[in-house]
Amino acid sequence: MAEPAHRKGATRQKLFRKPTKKFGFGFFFAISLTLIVINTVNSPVLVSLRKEAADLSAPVLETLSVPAIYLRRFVNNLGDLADLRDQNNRLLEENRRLKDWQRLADLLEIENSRLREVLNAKLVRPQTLVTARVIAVVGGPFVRSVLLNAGSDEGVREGLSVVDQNGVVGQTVEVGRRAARVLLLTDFNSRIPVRLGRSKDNGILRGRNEDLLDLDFLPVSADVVTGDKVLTSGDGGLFPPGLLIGIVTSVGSDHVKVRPVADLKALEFVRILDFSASEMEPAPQVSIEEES
Amino acid sequence: MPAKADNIVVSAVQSIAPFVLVFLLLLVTRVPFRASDMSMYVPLISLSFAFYFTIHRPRFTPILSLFLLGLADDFLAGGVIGLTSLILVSVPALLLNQRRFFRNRSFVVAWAGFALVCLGASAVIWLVEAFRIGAPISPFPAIVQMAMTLLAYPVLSWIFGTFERMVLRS
Repeated sequence: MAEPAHRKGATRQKLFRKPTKKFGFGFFFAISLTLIVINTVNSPVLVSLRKEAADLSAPVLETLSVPAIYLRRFVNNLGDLADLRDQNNRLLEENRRLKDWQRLADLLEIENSRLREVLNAKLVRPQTLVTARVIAVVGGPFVRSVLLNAGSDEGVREGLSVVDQNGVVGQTVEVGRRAARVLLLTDFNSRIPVRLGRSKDNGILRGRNEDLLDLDFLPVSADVVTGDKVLTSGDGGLFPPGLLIGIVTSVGSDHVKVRPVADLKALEFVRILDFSASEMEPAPQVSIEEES
Repeated sequence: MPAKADNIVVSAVQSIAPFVLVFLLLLVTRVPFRASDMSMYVPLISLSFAFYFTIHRPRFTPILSLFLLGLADDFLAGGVIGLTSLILVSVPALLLNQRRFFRNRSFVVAWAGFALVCLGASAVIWLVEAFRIGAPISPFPAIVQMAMTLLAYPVLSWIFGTFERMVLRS
């Protein structure tokens, strides 16, 4: 029996449409899979595309981040107002303690500079290359990174250390002209050579995609206790030595956990340090008389 | 002729508009409102978009656009390039025959369907990330992200629905 003309058309259309859709799905599915595989070999093409994408999105993200930061500050201020009196007392007490520490630090600085003079040693200080603002929190369930509003135009390169007012935040990993991505030290891929402040034992601090970090590869006889400070060792030349990273929070038979000192929950401004450009400066001559 | 030209412009704007909306939403989720270690709590907005529009307005979600949207999301997130694309282009393929079923049922049924899609997406994300990192990792962050995506779906579908009524049907 002959099919009506309009039915014939509809059938043809159906037959045509479905394979096209299936082909489209198969084609883009295959491209996506290929891209995923290329990712694992860290293709330079994808890396440069990422940098371009960061550069393109930076102006928009920077504009959007301004009201966001004001909003966050406003919310924080509301919280602070609630316990203003307690905060004042805490700050007075902290100020008193810090003055004691400052006196001790001044004395030690003088002693250090005299010893350096005797040994003719030079002081290595990493230089702040640029202070940048966090314009976006980029990442997903398994990636922890932030985008900064400074790039190669400001002299930023890959592999520079990034710190906030408390300590190490991470390292620049992708640098465009106007923006740079920082891999946070809590990211799975973060590995930092460190040294314990008290016992000077070396290890590797590893991100776990959690608030706490793992301290691995410590010597078998390592002397580590809760509360020990963890500093960069400078091994491998990735980070300058002596930057505070975290505090040991727990020591088990098979693990040492470290809490970062950087305020990763509220990053706003960070400093990018240039270790390679740091000069071997002569030790500064400090005297208490001059300071006071 | 001018009326025809107007129609073409309106049609072009309508085709682009959903993607502009979802791209803006993606950008907003990247601004530093939140803590940097809260990324796993950010819903995968593009997945909600792909699911909603595949059911209600498949004309506005051609597979090429979904692929490009996934790429944009991956570039913004700094994650594995191609992962979100892979998930998004799979959505119309999965829903090709179920579209009418979901359209004619209550919102709760569509939400349950979306839960299944989220479950599959979290499994894919977890497997690909474990492959990238090269070590066994906990699926917990992927599950949390998909739970947040599922929880955000009623709000997002309301936004998409309002947008659909105001822009796409005008």
